This record gives sequence, C-alpha cells and structure tokens, in this order.
Amino acid sequence: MFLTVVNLGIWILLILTGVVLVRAFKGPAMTDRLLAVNMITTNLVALFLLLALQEGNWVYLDVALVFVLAACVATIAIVKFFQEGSLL
Amino acid sequence: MLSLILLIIGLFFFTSGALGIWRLPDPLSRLHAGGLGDTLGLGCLLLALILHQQDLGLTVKFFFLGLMVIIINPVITHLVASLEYKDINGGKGGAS
Repeated sequence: MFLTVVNLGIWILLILTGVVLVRAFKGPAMTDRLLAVNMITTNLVALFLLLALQEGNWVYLDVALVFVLAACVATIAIVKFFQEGSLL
Repeated sequence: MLSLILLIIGLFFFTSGALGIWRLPDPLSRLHAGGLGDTLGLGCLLLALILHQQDLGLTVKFFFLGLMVIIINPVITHLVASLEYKDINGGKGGAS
C-alpha cells in the first residue's frame, strides 16, 4: 500500500516539475523564474527521496543533501548579483 | 498507517504549491504559494519516511535534510520577495 502510493507520488512529482517548468519558461518577471527554479529544486529533492525508497538504495539520500546545499548557494548568488550588481 | 497519511498530505501540499505557482496572477501571490507549500510538503514527506523506515542512521540524515530545507527555503523566499519589493518600489526598500 505504501509502496503503491510512493510509485504514484513519483509520477505526480514528475508532472508537477513539468508544470512549474512552464512558469519558469514563460514567467514575466525575473523573480518568477527564480522562485520557479527554487521550487523545481525542492520537487527534485522529494523525487530523490521517493526514488530511494522505491529502489531500496539510500545513496540517493546523500545526493539530495548535496543537491540542497548547491542549489541554496546558487540561488543566493543570483539574488546577490541582481541586488548589488556584482558577485564580490 | 500514519506514514501513509503523512505521505498523502505531503503530496497534496506539493500539488497545491505547484498549482499556485502555475495559476495565480500576481508575482507576490505566486511567491506566497511557492514558498509555503514547498517547505510544508517536504516536511510532511520526511516525517512519513522517518515513520516508515524506523532506522536511527537514516533518521539522523532525514532530520538534517529537513533542518536544512526549513532554514534555507524561507531565507530564499525572503530574498526573492525583497528583490521583488525593491523592483515594485523603484529601487527603495527591501532587505539587503
């Protein structure tokens, strides 16, 4: 029962990532695109967790940990670049 | 059974956040939907996985992943919101 819902959730998260990607593609403002990319990151972390549970391979959990940190640094760097004009 | 309910609640919050960021008309309201639904959805999903696995080592990793997401995601939402606010107000206001 749990694994059936996990398998369904993987497909749901893939469809939702596609939906958010539409907003990242056609968003009118720059902040829409930034927030959409951040939300895609969180969706992918949840996807990694469900994939790890489905395949029984918990290496995906370490991938999710590193992915969160890398995406955080990237988004903060982009916001700093647009606020102050340069990265340093 | 509790883990199944928490997993379904987490998927519901992910769905509501994605639909909000797809359909809402205003950039600030889109920011509200995207920033809130995502964090709560991942929190419920991590709690469901902790209750389903019952393993100490994995629980520590899930806890730190949830802690990082709970700290990082509102900070990024706040920064993007301050950027948008500065954009609306014409270069004044907003946190640096």
